[in-house]
Amino acid sequence: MEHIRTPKVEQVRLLDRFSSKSTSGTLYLTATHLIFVESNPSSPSAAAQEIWVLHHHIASVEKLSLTTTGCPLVIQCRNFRVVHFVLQRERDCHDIYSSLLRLLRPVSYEELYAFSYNPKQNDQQREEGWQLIDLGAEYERMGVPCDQWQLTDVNRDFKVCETYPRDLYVPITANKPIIVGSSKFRSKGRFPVLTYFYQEKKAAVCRCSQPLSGFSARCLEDESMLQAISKANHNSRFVYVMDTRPKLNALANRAAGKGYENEDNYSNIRFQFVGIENIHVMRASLQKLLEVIGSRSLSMSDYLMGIESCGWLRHIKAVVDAAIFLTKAVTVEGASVLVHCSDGWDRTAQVCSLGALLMDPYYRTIKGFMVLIEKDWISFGHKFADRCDQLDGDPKEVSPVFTQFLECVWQLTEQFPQAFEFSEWFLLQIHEHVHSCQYGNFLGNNQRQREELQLRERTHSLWAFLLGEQQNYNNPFYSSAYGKTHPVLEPSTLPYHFKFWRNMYHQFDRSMHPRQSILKTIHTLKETSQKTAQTLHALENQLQQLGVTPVVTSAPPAAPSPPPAPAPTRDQQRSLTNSHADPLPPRPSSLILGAPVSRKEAQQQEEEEEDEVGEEATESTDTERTVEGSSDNDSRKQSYGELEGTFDDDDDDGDDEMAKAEPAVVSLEFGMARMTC
Amino acid sequence: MFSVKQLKPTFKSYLPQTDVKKNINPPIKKLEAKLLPGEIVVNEVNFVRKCIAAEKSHDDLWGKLICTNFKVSFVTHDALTKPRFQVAHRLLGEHDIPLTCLEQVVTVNDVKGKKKVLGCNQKLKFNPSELILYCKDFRIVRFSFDEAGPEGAKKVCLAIAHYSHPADPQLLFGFEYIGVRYYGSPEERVNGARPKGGSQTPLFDCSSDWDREIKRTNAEEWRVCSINQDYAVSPSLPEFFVVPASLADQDLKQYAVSFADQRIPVWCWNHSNGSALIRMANITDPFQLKKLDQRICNAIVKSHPQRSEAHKFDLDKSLPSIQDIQNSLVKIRQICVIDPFEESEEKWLSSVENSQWLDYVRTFLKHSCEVVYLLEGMNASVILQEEEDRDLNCVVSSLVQIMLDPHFRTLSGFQSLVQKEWVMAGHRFLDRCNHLKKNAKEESPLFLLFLDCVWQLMNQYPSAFEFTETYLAVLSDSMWIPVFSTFLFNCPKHHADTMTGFLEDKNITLGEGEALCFPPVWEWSQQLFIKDQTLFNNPIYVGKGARNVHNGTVKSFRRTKHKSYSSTLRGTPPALMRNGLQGGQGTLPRRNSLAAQLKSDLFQLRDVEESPSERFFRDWFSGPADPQGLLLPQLLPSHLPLWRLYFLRWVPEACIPRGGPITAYHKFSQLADEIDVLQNQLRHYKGPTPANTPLASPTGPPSEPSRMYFKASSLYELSSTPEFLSSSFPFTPVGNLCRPNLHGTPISKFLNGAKIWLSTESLANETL
Repeated sequence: MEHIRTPKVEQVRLLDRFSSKSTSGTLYLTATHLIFVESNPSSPSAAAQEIWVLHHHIASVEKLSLTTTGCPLVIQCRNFRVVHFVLQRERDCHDIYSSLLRLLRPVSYEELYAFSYNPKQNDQQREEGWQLIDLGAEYERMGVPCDQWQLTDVNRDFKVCETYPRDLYVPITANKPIIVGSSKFRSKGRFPVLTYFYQEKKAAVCRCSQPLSGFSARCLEDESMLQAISKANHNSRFVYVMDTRPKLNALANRAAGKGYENEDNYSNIRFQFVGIENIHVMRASLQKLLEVIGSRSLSMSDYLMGIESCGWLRHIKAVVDAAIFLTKAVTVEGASVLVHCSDGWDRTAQVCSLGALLMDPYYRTIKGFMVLIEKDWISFGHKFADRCDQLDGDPKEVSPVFTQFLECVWQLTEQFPQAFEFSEWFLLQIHEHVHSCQYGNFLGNNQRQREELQLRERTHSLWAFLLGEQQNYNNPFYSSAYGKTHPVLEPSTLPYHFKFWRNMYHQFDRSMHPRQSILKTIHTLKETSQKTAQTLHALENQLQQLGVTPVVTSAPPAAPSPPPAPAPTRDQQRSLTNSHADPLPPRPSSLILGAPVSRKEAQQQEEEEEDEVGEEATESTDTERTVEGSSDNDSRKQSYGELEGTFDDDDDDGDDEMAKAEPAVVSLEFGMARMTC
Repeated sequence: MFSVKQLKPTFKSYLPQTDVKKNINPPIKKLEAKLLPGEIVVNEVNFVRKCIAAEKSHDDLWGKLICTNFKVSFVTHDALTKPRFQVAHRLLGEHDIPLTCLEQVVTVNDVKGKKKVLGCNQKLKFNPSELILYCKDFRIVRFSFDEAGPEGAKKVCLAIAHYSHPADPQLLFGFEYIGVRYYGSPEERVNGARPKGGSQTPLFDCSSDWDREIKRTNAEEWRVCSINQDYAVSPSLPEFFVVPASLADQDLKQYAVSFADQRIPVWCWNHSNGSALIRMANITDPFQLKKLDQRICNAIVKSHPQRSEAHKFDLDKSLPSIQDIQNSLVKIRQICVIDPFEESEEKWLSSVENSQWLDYVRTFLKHSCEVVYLLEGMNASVILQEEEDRDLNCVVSSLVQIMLDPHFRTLSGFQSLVQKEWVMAGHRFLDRCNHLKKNAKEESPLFLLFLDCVWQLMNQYPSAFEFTETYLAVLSDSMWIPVFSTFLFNCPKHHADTMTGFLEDKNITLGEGEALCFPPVWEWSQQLFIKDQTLFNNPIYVGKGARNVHNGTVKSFRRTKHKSYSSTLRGTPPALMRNGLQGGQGTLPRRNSLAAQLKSDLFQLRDVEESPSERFFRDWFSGPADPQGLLLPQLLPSHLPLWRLYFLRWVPEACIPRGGPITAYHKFSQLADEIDVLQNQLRHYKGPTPANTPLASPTGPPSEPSRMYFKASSLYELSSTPEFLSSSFPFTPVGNLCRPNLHGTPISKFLNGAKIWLSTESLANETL
């Protein structure tokens, strides 16, 4: 609080990034957010535009030099929002600027939003939230422990490897001396452990860091460790060792006493480099990508050449390629695979998690995807704090590794629309909160640190929040049968199939959004279907009340006839109609008809909640934190609104029920009233 | 080190390997080509191998290669070893290629290392061991003659080359095909009798079609003019067209002399605000130029209810030439289907850039938007001018109408649009398709470019079109089947003259009221069975025909006009900062964070005021889009992707089994079908129920069989995706040539150790 000198500036203009449009309004600076509220909405009916920027999201603030119209302030965010304000007075601009500089550089974890965020839950609810994901149960689901794999307690106290979780799974033949010996031969003590078990072929996916082999060093325990992994799988005589780095990088590491496995020393391995670039290359690549797409009046040539030269899609492809390789080795050959990179927490996490996603339909569900992230990223110590720049740390440690993983998943959802239970929104929401520091899940660099911070006691879990509004993230194309008939996905990695993810990198640029969305349309279709079915039901009831014999029929609508016959023609139905007068059959539990609470209703609920919060805000100032807390969610929803709102095509015509119900652009502006205080 | 042998994931390994060929030994049937009426076998050779993979494989098919006067046919008893799905074509078999579809006929002799592109009447000095056919629809098919008689193979190759270069339009197969009806035996007649009104598409070959269009668009100040009856005035205009009511026939005849090809300006369409869209050719007489221009403009202004001025667009000056477009297509074909992947993989985007195809798509869309702005936003009539008024004008005028008028987004409306703005307007389909392969300079894929632009709109507004991208692709393929009047002639007069000539040559006398005519492509039953035609139906279309899906009223397309511009006027940004002045001081990016160096031209916000057209577009884009109203495409490069179904459907390696947008279509269709079924049931209730229901009377399609290709899933079957769905559906790349030098997916590159990324950049960073 002490850093905020000017909490409110009026007559600020917000410039649009891609057009000559500008909006004027008021800028508020709070302890957690920077908020802009449009002052004169373009038409009386339209709600005012509102932008909430969480301090943790801000990547940089720049004050440009004074112009005739005022003092420009440019804010760039980690969620790819870029806002450009022009303040009238230089002084105000400087105040906001210097306050922000302080606010966006938390020095200790305690300053992070998660520790003050309170979504009005009691301790029990919070505890339940944290218990939603149970990795022990997840390993059980995979089929471990089993006759070949066991749970080891060597790392119970983070003694062997402090960046690993407490519970680790290793081959039964790997005893403690082998584990400890192996860990001493691996960077940061990250010895080979199980991360995914492919039950069908008893093949394992293991992960570790690079060996400290240098030019000639070897370690018998490490060799035994790999031997043990190999022996645990009777399907294959050898283990694939995937070094996800480019060969040159690995070679260079040898000079530092690190490096890669020597095939001569490990008799039972097949070694392969994969060629995913390191965190620095990825960071630079994303930067270039953002530069390209951020330019105004981009020509087709500039765009295509820019996308190609920044290499971003090529890197994405490299990760997917590696995951396919892993998948093929495991599912086709039934071989176990050991994956590593340098430290085994960036590229290794990408490849292992993406590979598991390709192999196991469970990870393509909403819950399963959370489990996957929890397992391969959070528990195995992907350094979220460093990579996402949560605290004032080393800029060289920042890298969009997790963003890349989310993008790989998105590219797969584009290739297989029916295979994923979640939609793009889910990925965007996760991305948002990885950076927001609003929930405890992604704070810190590893489990040990998280325990020290007592995150489970002091913060809330994102997963509970996401599951709570699961219906917002459902992919309407999802078919659970798809996972059963095609458990393993076989994506194509030809360059044609890698697309620029506009809804990620332009998620806050309204002018970039599609004006009509397939997602929205299918929701509408589903609702229509539901409504029609309801009407049908209502009519049936009415008929019964009136004592009229129901005219239709034993054939429920969605189950016209046994397969593979097509839907009955009217004539067929007629004959059915006249012959039967059975009591009404239960409606089929069709995927479509049984759709959960519709998105529309969900949105209305949200709006209602929103209103409550809003009222509270005007009432009391003591609960400010709470208000901010919940409204970050809302601001997130609001940004959803930005994306979704533009989809809709319907006008608010009185007789168009569906259109009326859908708050086309409205969802964007909800809750503005409270901000006028 | 990695087991290369087993893994070697060529495209095939993606599908279950079933060895069908080995164990099936059907009784030996004679291999015969399936012939259409009027089709004759020219030459054939047996024991030919159709190559399925780049190298010799057991998947290859053995059979007979036949050249007829219509197609190259390959008949075989072998079945493909993969689940293969193809919509049955009524004119063409599984392995058939129409001769008009051949782009290049290449013969190869492996041993001698010789290769020759065969033209018409050419000699072949070597015995071919292979024949590669490059097709205009992007297919590539390869036949090997290693077991066939060398002489026979040579003869067939020469026959194919010869017959694919007809000397005269009359030698195109369509003439034989329809001719049979008049001079052949009765049982040979094509598809029985000519279907009566097989399509409801107005052909605009009579004045009543134009009359109806005038009435539909409320173009009160315009009239149908018949001075060109029997093509008395202009050789390339249709017999009937529409002109300003204030111009008399006499004047028009007089003006016509001064226009290229005597093409006086003709009316295309009227906006409901009274503005009209007109197209015209250049005025060739320099002395008349000013005077005529003035008169024409005056007449057009007079026909506008508000007497708004007319704007002229000279398309020749602002759009790429037809040769540019053709070159672009050649390049894109090269990178999509010909170049080996090793080359195209890393450079895919720059190759796309280099082809300029997407740039052209964007340019045409952009120009059309500008025309739309004048018609809609400025309430002004627009004249499209092009030297001959037969190429670029077709593209722009039809795009403008599609954006403005929802009628043209229905199936029949779209077909009538093509009929009106392309066929009747005298687009030289014969020359642009280069059916006679005489003049490559005249060849240009304008129609394909137009379809691509429509696809872009469809891609951005998925529920605004009654038809699907499959429809567009099938329509484009129909260009290469030479039996439809739509694509065989250069203009209506050319059509008429050719027909007369043909009748004379063949000594056919027609009875009273009889006319010899080709079916238009719009008679889809010529090509597809009714069931397959449902692939054209867009399940999420929101329109008149599909109001059962959306109960909303159809809105007028003038909605956007209700908007006030006040906000934008107020919001015009005055000077912000001077160009180039980058705030050096006071800049303190947060360390080396991701977006820190995002300078770009954010800091060069232009000092200009928003132009009225910018404001118009921004205003339109900030409101909700109405699928039944004006549609404007978003033109930023990231909004205009490559039309993958069209360009990549034949590439085996690019095919995603059980994936791609088609799976979304599948789901949509099921839902739409389910709604149809439910609503049908509701209707049944309505009859006998005395009580009033709260529901408006359903307007869905009546008792017809489902409009959807994919039916609602029933209780008994899990709604799983059919095996045959792939990103190429309803086409299939199986059987099309894999590219040489390709060993499967990039994985195998790792396997072979062929390509390991070595970047000095990463090395430098790693050692930091």
